[in-house]
Amino acid sequence: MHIDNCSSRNEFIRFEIITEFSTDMKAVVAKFFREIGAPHVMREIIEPLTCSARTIFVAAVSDRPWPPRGVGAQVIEGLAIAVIGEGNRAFLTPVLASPQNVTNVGLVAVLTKKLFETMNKESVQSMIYLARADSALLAHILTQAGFEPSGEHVITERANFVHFAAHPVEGLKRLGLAERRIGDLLSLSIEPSQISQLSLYHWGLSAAIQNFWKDRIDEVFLLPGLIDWVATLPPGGIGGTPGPKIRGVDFRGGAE
Amino acid sequence: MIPCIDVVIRSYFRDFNWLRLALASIHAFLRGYRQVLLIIPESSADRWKESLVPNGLPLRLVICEDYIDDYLGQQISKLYADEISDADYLIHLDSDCVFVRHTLVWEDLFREEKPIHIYRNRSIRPIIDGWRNSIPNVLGIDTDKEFMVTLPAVYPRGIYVALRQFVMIRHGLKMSDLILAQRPDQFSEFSILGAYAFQYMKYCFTWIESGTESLVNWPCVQFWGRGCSPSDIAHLLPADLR
Repeated sequence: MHIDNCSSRNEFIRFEIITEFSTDMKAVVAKFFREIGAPHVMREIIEPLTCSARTIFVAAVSDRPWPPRGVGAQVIEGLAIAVIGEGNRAFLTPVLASPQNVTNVGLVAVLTKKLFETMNKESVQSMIYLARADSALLAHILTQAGFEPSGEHVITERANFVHFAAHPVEGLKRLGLAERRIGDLLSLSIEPSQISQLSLYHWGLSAAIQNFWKDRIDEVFLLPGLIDWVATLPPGGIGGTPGPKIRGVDFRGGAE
Repeated sequence: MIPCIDVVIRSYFRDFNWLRLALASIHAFLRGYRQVLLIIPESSADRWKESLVPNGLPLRLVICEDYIDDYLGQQISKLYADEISDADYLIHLDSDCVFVRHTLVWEDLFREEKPIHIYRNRSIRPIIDGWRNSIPNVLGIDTDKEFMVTLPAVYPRGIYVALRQFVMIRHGLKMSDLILAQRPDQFSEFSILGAYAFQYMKYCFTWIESGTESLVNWPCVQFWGRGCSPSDIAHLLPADLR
Protein backbone atom coordinates (compact mmCIF):
# COMPACT_ATOMS: atom_id res chain seq x y z
CA MET A 1 0.00 0.00 0.00
CA HIS A 2 1.45 3.37 -0.99
CA ILE A 3 0.22 6.48 0.70
CA ASP A 4 1.35 9.92 -0.47
CA ASN A 5 4.44 8.40 -2.08
CA CYS A 6 6.03 8.10 1.38
CA SER A 7 6.79 4.42 1.06
CA SER A 8 9.54 4.65 -1.52
CA ARG A 9 11.18 7.63 0.17
CA ASN A 10 11.16 5.74 3.46
CA GLU A 11 13.45 3.10 1.99
CA PHE A 12 16.36 5.53 2.24
CA ILE A 13 15.77 6.75 5.77
CA ARG A 14 17.82 5.47 8.66
CA PHE A 15 17.19 5.81 12.37
CA GLU A 16 19.67 7.12 14.86
CA ILE A 17 19.47 7.22 18.64
CA ILE A 18 21.10 10.35 20.01
CA THR A 19 21.99 10.89 23.64
CA GLU A 20 24.52 13.63 23.06
CA PHE A 21 24.62 16.13 20.24
CA SER A 22 27.73 16.46 18.16
CA THR A 23 28.28 19.93 16.71
CA ASP A 24 27.16 18.62 13.33
CA MET A 25 24.01 17.05 14.70
CA LYS A 26 23.13 20.17 16.68
CA ALA A 27 23.06 22.11 13.43
CA VAL A 28 20.94 19.43 11.75
CA VAL A 29 18.41 19.45 14.59
CA ALA A 30 18.29 23.26 14.60
CA LYS A 31 17.49 23.17 10.90
CA PHE A 32 14.72 20.67 11.56
CA PHE A 33 13.06 22.93 14.14
CA ARG A 34 13.34 25.84 11.74
CA GLU A 35 11.65 23.78 9.04
CA ILE A 36 8.71 22.87 11.25
CA GLY A 37 8.19 26.53 12.07
CA ALA A 38 9.58 26.49 15.60
CA PRO A 39 13.11 27.91 15.22
CA HIS A 40 13.16 29.16 18.82
CA VAL A 41 12.86 25.65 20.28
CA MET A 42 16.45 24.62 19.67
CA ARG A 43 18.09 27.54 21.41
CA GLU A 44 15.45 28.22 24.05
CA ILE A 45 14.57 24.66 25.05
CA ILE A 46 16.60 21.82 23.54
CA GLU A 47 20.08 23.23 24.13
CA PRO A 48 19.58 24.13 27.81
CA LEU A 49 17.55 21.01 28.40
CA THR A 50 20.22 18.68 27.08
CA CYS A 51 22.68 20.31 29.48
CA SER A 52 20.50 19.84 32.53
CA ALA A 53 18.54 16.64 31.97
CA ARG A 54 19.03 13.19 30.51
CA THR A 55 17.50 13.34 27.07
CA ILE A 56 17.11 10.73 24.35
CA PHE A 57 16.28 11.58 20.77
CA VAL A 58 15.38 9.15 18.02
CA ALA A 59 15.96 10.78 14.67
CA ALA A 60 14.86 9.64 11.24
CA VAL A 61 17.73 10.76 9.06
CA SER A 62 18.27 10.88 5.34
CA ASP A 63 21.81 11.20 4.03
CA ARG A 64 23.01 13.13 1.04
CA PRO A 65 23.93 10.55 -1.61
CA TRP A 66 27.51 11.81 -1.95
CA PRO A 67 29.50 12.91 -0.13
CA PRO A 68 27.68 11.44 2.85
CA ARG A 69 29.66 13.50 5.37
CA GLY A 70 30.06 17.20 6.04
CA VAL A 71 27.84 20.21 6.56
CA GLY A 72 24.44 19.67 4.97
CA ALA A 73 24.92 15.94 4.48
CA GLN A 74 22.14 14.94 6.87
CA VAL A 75 18.49 15.94 7.01
CA ILE A 76 16.15 15.04 9.83
CA GLU A 77 12.83 13.73 8.56
CA GLY A 78 11.27 13.12 11.96
CA LEU A 79 12.18 13.29 15.63
CA ALA A 80 11.04 11.55 18.80
CA ILE A 81 12.13 12.94 22.17
CA ALA A 82 12.16 11.68 25.75
CA VAL A 83 13.43 13.39 28.88
CA ILE A 84 14.25 10.93 31.64
CA GLY A 85 13.71 12.07 35.18
CA GLU A 86 13.71 10.75 38.72
CA GLY A 87 12.53 7.19 39.24
CA ASN A 88 13.31 6.27 35.63
CA ARG A 89 10.23 8.09 34.40
CA ALA A 90 10.39 9.32 30.83
CA PHE A 91 8.47 12.40 29.73
CA LEU A 92 7.55 12.13 26.08
CA THR A 93 6.92 14.64 23.36
CA PRO A 94 4.71 13.55 20.44
CA VAL A 95 6.76 12.60 17.39
CA LEU A 96 7.61 15.54 15.18
CA ALA A 97 7.64 15.17 11.41
CA SER A 98 9.22 17.46 8.85
CA PRO A 99 6.86 19.25 6.42
CA GLN A 100 7.56 16.59 3.77
CA ASN A 101 6.49 13.87 6.19
CA VAL A 102 3.36 15.25 7.83
CA THR A 103 1.30 12.37 6.43
CA ASN A 104 4.04 9.78 6.69
CA VAL A 105 2.44 7.63 9.35
CA GLY A 106 4.81 4.73 8.65
CA LEU A 107 7.80 6.88 9.50
CA VAL A 108 6.15 8.19 12.64
CA ALA A 109 5.22 4.65 13.69
CA VAL A 110 8.84 3.52 13.41
CA LEU A 111 10.03 6.51 15.44
CA THR A 112 7.46 5.62 18.10
CA LYS A 113 8.54 1.98 18.09
CA LYS A 114 12.22 2.89 18.29
CA LEU A 115 11.59 5.37 21.12
CA PHE A 116 9.55 2.90 23.17
CA GLU A 117 12.11 0.13 22.60
CA THR A 118 14.89 2.47 23.68
CA MET A 119 12.93 3.39 26.80
CA ASN A 120 12.59 -0.29 27.61
CA LYS A 121 16.32 -0.85 27.14
CA GLU A 122 16.98 2.12 29.42
CA SER A 123 14.82 0.43 32.11
CA VAL A 124 12.26 3.23 32.04
CA GLN A 125 9.40 2.20 34.29
CA SER A 126 6.82 4.63 33.01
CA MET A 127 6.55 6.82 29.95
CA ILE A 128 4.46 9.89 30.59
CA TYR A 129 2.40 12.27 28.52
CA LEU A 130 1.00 15.40 30.15
CA ALA A 131 -2.54 15.79 28.78
CA ARG A 132 -5.19 18.32 29.72
CA ALA A 133 -7.58 16.86 32.24
CA ASP A 134 -10.62 18.13 30.34
CA SER A 135 -9.71 16.55 26.99
CA ALA A 136 -11.84 13.48 26.47
CA LEU A 137 -10.24 12.84 23.08
CA LEU A 138 -6.70 12.77 24.48
CA ALA A 139 -7.82 10.49 27.29
CA HIS A 140 -9.33 8.15 24.73
CA ILE A 141 -6.26 8.16 22.46
CA LEU A 142 -3.84 7.62 25.32
CA THR A 143 -5.77 4.90 27.11
CA GLN A 144 -6.15 3.05 23.81
CA ALA A 145 -2.36 3.12 23.58
CA GLY A 146 -1.94 1.72 27.08
CA PHE A 147 -1.42 5.00 28.97
CA GLU A 148 -3.43 5.34 32.17
CA PRO A 149 -3.94 8.40 34.41
CA SER A 150 -1.44 8.10 37.26
CA GLY A 151 -3.08 10.58 39.62
CA GLU A 152 -0.29 13.11 39.31
CA HIS A 153 -0.84 16.57 37.89
CA VAL A 154 0.89 19.56 36.47
CA ILE A 155 -1.13 22.71 37.02
CA THR A 156 -0.51 25.86 35.05
CA GLU A 157 -2.35 29.16 35.36
CA ARG A 158 -4.72 28.10 32.60
CA ALA A 159 -5.15 24.34 32.86
CA ASN A 160 -4.79 21.16 34.78
CA PHE A 161 -2.65 18.51 33.09
CA VAL A 162 -2.85 14.87 34.04
CA HIS A 163 0.00 12.39 33.86
CA PHE A 164 -0.88 9.50 31.56
CA ALA A 165 1.66 6.76 32.13
CA ALA A 166 2.51 3.45 30.45
CA HIS A 167 5.31 0.93 30.66
CA PRO A 168 7.21 0.84 27.34
CA VAL A 169 6.30 -2.79 26.72
CA GLU A 170 2.62 -2.04 27.25
CA GLY A 171 2.77 0.89 24.85
CA LEU A 172 4.46 -1.23 22.18
CA LYS A 173 1.90 -3.95 22.63
CA ARG A 174 -1.20 -1.76 22.61
CA LEU A 175 -0.10 0.14 19.51
CA GLY A 176 0.68 -3.14 17.78
CA LEU A 177 4.32 -2.17 17.34
CA ALA A 178 6.02 -4.89 19.38
CA GLU A 179 6.27 -7.55 16.70
CA ARG A 180 6.06 -5.33 13.65
CA ARG A 181 9.06 -5.23 11.36
CA ILE A 182 10.39 -1.80 10.56
CA GLY A 183 10.21 -2.48 6.84
CA ASP A 184 6.51 -3.36 7.09
CA LEU A 185 5.74 -0.22 9.05
CA LEU A 186 7.64 2.02 6.67
CA SER A 187 5.81 0.59 3.68
CA LEU A 188 2.52 0.41 5.62
CA SER A 189 2.28 -3.30 4.88
CA ILE A 190 0.04 -3.66 7.91
CA GLU A 191 -3.68 -4.06 8.55
CA PRO A 192 -5.83 -1.03 7.68
CA SER A 193 -7.18 -0.99 11.24
CA GLN A 194 -3.65 -0.55 12.56
CA ILE A 195 -2.97 2.26 10.11
CA SER A 196 -6.08 3.96 11.51
CA GLN A 197 -5.00 3.43 15.10
CA LEU A 198 -1.47 4.72 14.51
CA SER A 199 -2.79 7.69 12.57
CA LEU A 200 -5.21 8.68 15.32
CA TYR A 201 -2.50 8.28 17.94
CA HIS A 202 -0.01 10.43 16.06
CA TRP A 203 -2.25 13.13 14.67
CA GLY A 204 -4.32 13.39 17.85
CA LEU A 205 -1.24 14.03 19.97
CA SER A 206 0.34 16.26 17.31
CA ALA A 207 -2.76 18.45 17.09
CA ALA A 208 -2.91 18.71 20.86
CA ILE A 209 0.63 20.03 21.12
CA GLN A 210 0.60 22.19 17.99
CA ASN A 211 0.06 25.46 19.85
CA PHE A 212 3.17 24.86 21.91
CA TRP A 213 5.36 24.91 18.79
CA LYS A 214 3.65 28.16 17.78
CA ASP A 215 4.59 29.61 21.16
CA ARG A 216 0.93 29.86 22.24
CA ILE A 217 1.59 28.01 25.44
CA ASP A 218 -1.65 28.99 27.15
CA GLU A 219 -3.60 27.09 24.50
CA VAL A 220 -1.83 23.74 24.49
CA PHE A 221 -3.76 20.55 25.16
CA LEU A 222 -0.68 18.42 25.62
CA LEU A 223 2.50 19.65 27.27
CA PRO A 224 5.74 18.47 25.69
CA GLY A 225 7.95 16.41 27.92
CA LEU A 226 10.63 19.03 27.57
CA ILE A 227 10.48 20.56 31.02
CA ASP A 228 13.28 19.40 33.24
CA TRP A 229 11.84 20.68 36.47
CA VAL A 230 8.83 18.51 35.88
CA ALA A 231 11.02 15.59 35.07
CA THR A 232 13.16 15.88 38.16
CA LEU A 233 10.66 16.87 40.81
CA PRO A 234 9.43 14.12 43.09
CA PRO A 235 5.95 12.82 42.29
CA GLY A 236 3.09 14.91 43.59
CA GLY A 237 2.96 17.84 41.22
CA ILE A 238 3.29 21.49 42.07
CA GLY A 239 -0.30 22.53 42.69
CA GLY A 240 -1.11 23.79 46.18
CA THR A 241 2.37 23.95 47.66
CA PRO A 242 3.04 27.26 49.38
CA GLY A 243 6.64 27.67 48.22
CA PRO A 244 9.54 29.11 50.19
CA LYS A 245 9.38 32.23 52.27
CA ILE A 246 11.18 35.22 50.84
CA ARG A 247 12.71 37.73 53.28
CA GLY A 248 10.39 36.70 56.01
CA VAL A 249 7.31 37.07 53.86
CA ASP A 250 5.70 34.07 52.28
CA PHE A 251 4.60 34.31 48.68
CA ARG A 252 0.93 34.65 49.68
CA GLY A 253 1.69 37.98 51.31
CA GLY A 254 1.32 36.96 54.94
CA ALA A 255 3.84 38.52 57.35
CA GLU A 256 5.70 36.14 59.65
CA MET B 1 38.89 -30.24 -10.36
CA ILE B 2 36.79 -27.09 -10.60
CA PRO B 3 37.05 -25.18 -7.34
CA CYS B 4 34.12 -24.21 -5.17
CA ILE B 5 33.15 -20.57 -5.69
CA ASP B 6 30.74 -18.38 -3.72
CA VAL B 7 29.42 -14.91 -4.50
CA VAL B 8 29.64 -12.36 -1.67
CA ILE B 9 27.52 -9.22 -1.55
CA ARG B 10 27.58 -6.79 1.35
CA SER B 11 24.48 -4.63 1.30
CA TYR B 12 22.23 -2.58 3.57
CA PHE B 13 18.67 -1.30 3.58
CA ARG B 14 19.34 1.73 1.45
CA ASP B 15 20.61 -0.37 -1.44
CA PHE B 16 17.83 -2.95 -1.45
CA ASN B 17 16.34 -1.61 -4.69
CA TRP B 18 19.68 -2.09 -6.40
CA LEU B 19 20.17 -5.42 -4.70
CA ARG B 20 16.90 -6.71 -6.16
CA LEU B 21 18.26 -5.97 -9.63
CA ALA B 22 21.70 -7.43 -8.86
CA LEU B 23 20.17 -10.68 -7.60
CA ALA B 24 17.84 -10.89 -10.60
CA SER B 25 20.84 -10.48 -12.91
CA ILE B 26 22.77 -13.21 -11.09
CA HIS B 27 19.78 -15.49 -11.34
CA ALA B 28 19.34 -14.75 -15.03
CA PHE B 29 22.93 -14.72 -16.23
CA LEU B 30 25.50 -16.12 -13.80
CA ARG B 31 26.36 -19.81 -13.68
CA GLY B 32 29.10 -21.85 -12.06
CA TYR B 33 28.96 -20.67 -8.46
CA ARG B 34 27.67 -22.50 -5.40
CA GLN B 35 25.68 -19.85 -3.54
CA VAL B 36 25.24 -16.15 -2.95
CA LEU B 37 26.23 -15.00 0.52
CA LEU B 38 24.38 -11.81 1.28
CA ILE B 39 25.66 -9.89 4.31
CA ILE B 40 23.56 -7.14 5.85
CA PRO B 41 23.97 -5.38 9.20
CA GLU B 42 21.60 -6.12 12.02
CA SER B 43 19.82 -2.78 11.74
CA SER B 44 18.89 -3.59 8.14
CA ALA B 45 17.53 -7.04 8.94
CA ASP B 46 14.17 -5.61 9.97
CA ARG B 47 13.81 -4.14 6.50
CA TRP B 48 14.89 -7.24 4.59
CA LYS B 49 12.26 -8.77 2.29
CA GLU B 50 12.38 -12.31 0.98
CA SER B 51 10.70 -10.96 -2.14
CA LEU B 52 14.04 -9.40 -3.13
CA VAL B 53 15.37 -12.87 -3.93
CA PRO B 54 14.35 -14.51 -7.21
CA ASN B 55 12.78 -17.95 -6.82
CA GLY B 56 15.42 -20.63 -7.00
CA LEU B 57 18.45 -18.42 -6.35
CA PRO B 58 20.73 -20.20 -3.86
CA LEU B 59 21.20 -17.46 -1.27
CA ARG B 60 22.27 -17.49 2.35
CA LEU B 61 21.52 -14.39 4.40
CA VAL B 62 24.24 -13.47 6.90
CA ILE B 63 23.55 -10.83 9.54
CA CYS B 64 26.62 -8.93 10.73
CA GLU B 65 27.02 -6.45 13.54
CA ASP B 66 26.17 -2.77 13.18
CA TYR B 67 29.13 -0.46 12.87
CA ILE B 68 29.23 3.17 13.92
CA ASP B 69 30.04 3.98 10.32
CA ASP B 70 28.67 1.42 7.92
CA TYR B 71 30.66 2.79 5.02
CA LEU B 72 33.70 1.46 6.88
CA GLY B 73 31.69 -1.44 8.28
CA GLN B 74 30.92 -2.83 4.84
CA GLN B 75 34.64 -2.87 4.09
CA ILE B 76 35.25 -4.89 7.24
CA SER B 77 32.63 -7.42 6.15
CA LYS B 78 34.38 -7.88 2.82
CA LEU B 79 37.85 -8.33 4.31
CA TYR B 80 36.52 -11.04 6.63
CA ALA B 81 34.47 -12.78 3.93
CA ASP B 82 36.44 -16.02 4.32
CA GLU B 83 34.96 -16.41 7.80
CA ILE B 84 31.47 -16.98 6.43
CA SER B 85 32.37 -19.26 3.54
CA ASP B 86 34.50 -22.34 3.01
CA ALA B 87 34.66 -21.80 -0.76
CA ASP B 88 38.01 -21.83 -2.56
CA TYR B 89 37.27 -18.49 -4.24
CA LEU B 90 34.99 -15.61 -3.41
CA ILE B 91 33.44 -13.34 -6.01
CA HIS B 92 32.78 -9.86 -4.64
CA LEU B 93 29.89 -7.86 -5.99
CA ASP B 94 28.23 -4.71 -4.76
CA SER B 95 24.48 -4.12 -4.71
CA ASP B 96 24.73 -1.92 -7.79
CA CYS B 97 26.54 -4.49 -9.96
CA VAL B 98 24.43 -5.99 -12.72
CA PHE B 99 25.28 -8.90 -15.00
CA VAL B 100 24.16 -8.04 -18.51
CA ARG B 101 25.03 -11.22 -20.41
CA HIS B 102 25.37 -14.91 -19.77
CA THR B 103 28.44 -15.56 -17.65
CA LEU B 104 30.22 -18.75 -16.73
CA VAL B 105 32.34 -18.07 -13.70
CA TRP B 106 35.14 -20.44 -14.62
CA GLU B 107 35.31 -19.19 -18.23
CA ASP B 108 34.53 -15.50 -17.97
CA LEU B 109 35.96 -14.50 -14.59
CA PHE B 110 38.98 -16.80 -14.69
CA ARG B 111 41.77 -17.25 -17.26
CA GLU B 112 44.35 -20.00 -17.22
CA GLU B 113 42.59 -21.28 -14.10
CA LYS B 114 43.37 -18.08 -12.21
CA PRO B 115 40.94 -15.30 -11.33
CA ILE B 116 41.11 -12.25 -13.58
CA HIS B 117 42.23 -9.13 -11.74
CA ILE B 118 41.72 -5.89 -13.64
CA TYR B 119 44.00 -2.98 -12.84
CA ARG B 120 45.21 0.32 -14.22
CA ASN B 121 48.93 0.66 -14.81
CA ARG B 122 48.74 4.34 -13.90
CA SER B 123 46.05 5.42 -11.51
CA ILE B 124 43.65 8.08 -12.74
CA ARG B 125 43.00 9.13 -9.17
CA PRO B 126 44.62 12.35 -7.98
CA ILE B 127 47.79 11.96 -5.96
CA ILE B 128 46.02 13.13 -2.79
CA ASP B 129 43.15 10.64 -3.20
CA GLY B 130 42.52 8.75 0.02
CA TRP B 131 41.72 5.46 -1.64
CA ARG B 132 44.96 5.64 -3.59
CA ASN B 133 46.92 6.61 -0.51
CA SER B 134 45.46 3.79 1.53
CA ILE B 135 47.85 1.44 -0.32
CA PRO B 136 51.08 3.03 0.99
CA ASN B 137 49.48 3.87 4.32
CA VAL B 138 48.25 0.37 5.07
CA LEU B 139 50.64 -1.82 3.11
CA GLY B 140 53.71 0.38 2.83
CA ILE B 141 53.71 -0.14 -0.93
CA ASP B 142 54.43 2.78 -3.26
CA THR B 143 52.69 2.20 -6.54
CA ASP B 144 51.20 4.15 -9.41
CA LYS B 145 48.86 1.29 -10.14
CA GLU B 146 45.17 1.27 -9.33
CA PHE B 147 43.43 -1.91 -8.30
CA MET B 148 39.87 -0.85 -7.62
CA VAL B 149 38.76 -0.58 -11.21
CA THR B 150 35.59 -2.60 -11.60
CA LEU B 151 33.71 -5.51 -10.08
CA PRO B 152 33.29 -8.41 -9.81
CA ALA B 153 36.60 -9.07 -8.09
CA VAL B 154 37.57 -12.66 -7.40
CA TYR B 155 39.97 -13.62 -4.63
CA PRO B 156 41.25 -16.94 -3.31
CA ARG B 157 40.23 -17.55 0.26
CA GLY B 158 43.82 -17.57 1.52
CA ILE B 159 44.36 -13.89 0.77
CA TYR B 160 42.06 -12.65 3.51
CA VAL B 161 43.82 -14.24 6.44
CA ALA B 162 47.21 -13.41 4.95
CA LEU B 163 46.25 -9.76 4.61
CA ARG B 164 44.88 -9.62 8.14
CA GLN B 165 48.08 -11.15 9.50
CA PHE B 166 50.11 -8.64 7.51
CA VAL B 167 48.15 -5.78 9.06
CA MET B 168 48.57 -7.23 12.54
CA ILE B 169 52.34 -7.48 12.07
CA ARG B 170 52.76 -4.06 10.45
CA HIS B 171 50.32 -2.05 12.54
CA GLY B 172 49.75 -4.16 15.63
CA LEU B 173 46.03 -3.94 14.97
CA LYS B 174 43.23 -6.24 13.99
CA MET B 175 42.06 -5.44 10.49
CA SER B 176 38.63 -4.35 11.78
CA ASP B 177 40.21 -1.95 14.29
CA LEU B 178 42.52 -0.55 11.64
CA ILE B 179 39.58 0.13 9.33
CA LEU B 180 37.43 1.73 12.02
CA ALA B 181 40.30 4.09 12.83
CA GLN B 182 40.27 5.46 9.27
CA ARG B 183 38.36 8.34 7.78
CA PRO B 184 35.77 6.94 5.36
CA ASP B 185 37.49 8.53 2.38
CA GLN B 186 40.91 7.19 3.40
CA PHE B 187 40.40 3.46 3.08
CA SER B 188 39.55 1.24 0.14
CA GLU B 189 39.20 -2.47 0.74
CA PHE B 190 39.60 -3.42 -2.92
CA SER B 191 42.63 -1.18 -3.35
CA ILE B 192 44.24 -2.94 -0.40
CA LEU B 193 43.27 -6.43 -1.54
CA GLY B 194 44.42 -5.74 -5.08
CA ALA B 195 47.71 -4.19 -4.08
CA TYR B 196 48.44 -7.00 -1.64
CA ALA B 197 47.60 -9.55 -4.31
CA PHE B 198 49.89 -7.84 -6.84
CA GLN B 199 52.76 -7.56 -4.40
CA TYR B 200 52.63 -10.90 -2.64
CA MET B 201 50.37 -13.26 -4.61
CA LYS B 202 50.96 -12.06 -8.14
CA TYR B 203 51.09 -15.49 -9.71
CA CYS B 204 47.74 -16.49 -8.24
CA PHE B 205 45.93 -14.11 -10.62
CA THR B 206 45.69 -13.29 -14.30
CA TRP B 207 46.36 -9.56 -14.45
CA ILE B 208 44.64 -7.64 -17.21
CA GLU B 209 45.06 -3.94 -17.73
CA SER B 210 41.86 -1.94 -17.89
CA GLY B 211 40.83 -0.85 -21.36
CA THR B 212 42.44 -3.73 -23.19
CA GLU B 213 40.48 -5.48 -25.87
CA SER B 214 40.06 -8.68 -23.93
CA LEU B 215 37.78 -6.86 -21.49
CA VAL B 216 35.43 -5.42 -24.08
CA ASN B 217 32.75 -7.95 -23.25
CA TRP B 218 33.12 -7.75 -19.50
CA PRO B 219 29.84 -9.28 -18.38
CA CYS B 220 29.02 -7.07 -15.41
CA VAL B 221 28.19 -3.37 -15.28
CA GLN B 222 28.75 -1.44 -12.10
CA PHE B 223 26.44 1.50 -11.67
CA TRP B 224 26.76 4.10 -8.98
CA GLY B 225 23.89 3.41 -6.64
CA ARG B 226 24.09 6.74 -4.88
CA GLY B 227 23.86 8.71 -8.09
CA CYS B 228 20.98 7.02 -9.88
CA SER B 229 18.22 4.49 -9.35
CA PRO B 230 17.48 1.19 -11.10
CA SER B 231 14.63 2.83 -12.99
CA ASP B 232 17.04 5.49 -14.29
CA ILE B 233 19.19 2.86 -15.98
CA ALA B 234 16.46 0.40 -17.00
CA HIS B 235 16.88 1.33 -20.67
CA LEU B 236 20.50 0.13 -20.51
CA LEU B 237 19.56 -3.35 -19.35
CA PRO B 238 18.81 -6.50 -21.28
CA ALA B 239 15.09 -7.16 -21.73
CA ASP B 240 15.15 -9.95 -19.14
CA LEU B 241 15.94 -7.45 -16.39
CA ARG B 242 13.68 -4.55 -17.28
